Amino acid sequence: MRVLLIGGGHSAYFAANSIKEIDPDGKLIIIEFTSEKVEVLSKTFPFAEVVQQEIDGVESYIRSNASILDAVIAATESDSLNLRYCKAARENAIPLIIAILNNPMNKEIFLKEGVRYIINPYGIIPVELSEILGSATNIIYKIPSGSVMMASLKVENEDELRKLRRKLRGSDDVSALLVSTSGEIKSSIEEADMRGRLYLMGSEEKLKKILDSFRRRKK
Amino acid sequence: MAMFPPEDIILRILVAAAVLVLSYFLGGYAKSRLERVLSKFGAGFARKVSDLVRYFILFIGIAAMVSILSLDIMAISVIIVAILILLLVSMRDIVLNLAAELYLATRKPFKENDWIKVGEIEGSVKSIGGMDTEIITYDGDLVIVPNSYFLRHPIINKSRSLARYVELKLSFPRMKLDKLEQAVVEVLDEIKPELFGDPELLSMSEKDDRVEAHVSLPIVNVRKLRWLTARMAKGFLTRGIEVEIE
Repeated sequence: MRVLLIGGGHSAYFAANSIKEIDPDGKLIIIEFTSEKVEVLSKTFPFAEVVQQEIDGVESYIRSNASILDAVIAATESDSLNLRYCKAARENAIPLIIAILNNPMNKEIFLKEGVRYIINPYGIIPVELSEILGSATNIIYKIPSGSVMMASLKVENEDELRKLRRKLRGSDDVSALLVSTSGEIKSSIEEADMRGRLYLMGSEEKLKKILDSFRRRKK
Repeated sequence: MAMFPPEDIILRILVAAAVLVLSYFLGGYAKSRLERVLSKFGAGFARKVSDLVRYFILFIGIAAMVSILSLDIMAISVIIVAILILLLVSMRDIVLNLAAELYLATRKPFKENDWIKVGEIEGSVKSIGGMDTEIITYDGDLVIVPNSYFLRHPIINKSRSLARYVELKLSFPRMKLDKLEQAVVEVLDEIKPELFGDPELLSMSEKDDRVEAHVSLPIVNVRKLRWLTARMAKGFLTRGIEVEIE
């Protein structure tokens, strides 16, 4: 796959390494604005083609390569630049456009501009905190294309577990795993009779309903 | 009606015709002026409103014409029905496009950037407008599809998978099978970095004085197909092999 990665900062560093791992034979082109960074990037990522471009020249690069680029990843250290490049990629009908955010508050703006894949590197903070501090419910992950989600619930007594069992019984679109406070793992909550954390993975719609009713009961 | 004596039917017909012509031109003028004024709210919206105003003025003109001619109820009813049928037929596309717009907005069968196939057209959705949708095809051509087209043809949304599997037929004239397999594998290997996974050699067979091979390429941006086939042809040529790619 031919991927254009724009930016040479921290986000771009992680993105470049991930792309290399996912598609080792693929063609990666990195665009950077300064000659010093281009030199460093060429040494750090010998597998990639590093190109120096003016800030205002990136759009024309996208335009002239639109028919062969498979993906554009905007990962500069400025969200306004990332938005500009995502818009240019959209206007030129690049099939896969990904933005890596610097400020999570800008997510809505990217969504409004029709950028479907938005990576929020800070999104992991509330998830990790919720797990560490043992919050009642926690949405761990939603897959980018939608419809599947992973969440966890804090089960404190047998009554809660019984109600959850009832909700999950017969539903083939949600899988469950219970981890007790002592670290014991049970793959079937029918057998489990302990307190701990219940991990659920499956249909986003169904899981949201389970989480909502669980939260209501907790109140 | 009092200003015309009943026997002066020719004069009445002439005045009625003049009123109709006047309302026709007035409608056209109002449409172009309104379209310009309302364009700040979007071209689609401006067009729809100005069309409605134009038809309204035409309707008033026809009503005035009927009044001047002093026709009886039966004749008026026949004229109204005829006009309604005429309007419905002439506005058929507008009505259909409006219905399609409603359908696309509520059902949402595809989004921008989705890869769809509708009727004979296949490509990536560039933009969805009120009256039409822009689609970029395999060859990079921009096709503007009136939204009413989506009501008449089933829509296949192929966007669940990132890659499309494109099958190509390679024909090698005056070649023998045993000398080709290695070259095909090498050329496919050369274009692999541009693909979403491994290219696949589906079949290879000798037919008369030529060899035919079928390959499957997983491609994300199908617009690069033409570029890829050119690269493949070049790859074979550098090996001294002539190829025709379909």
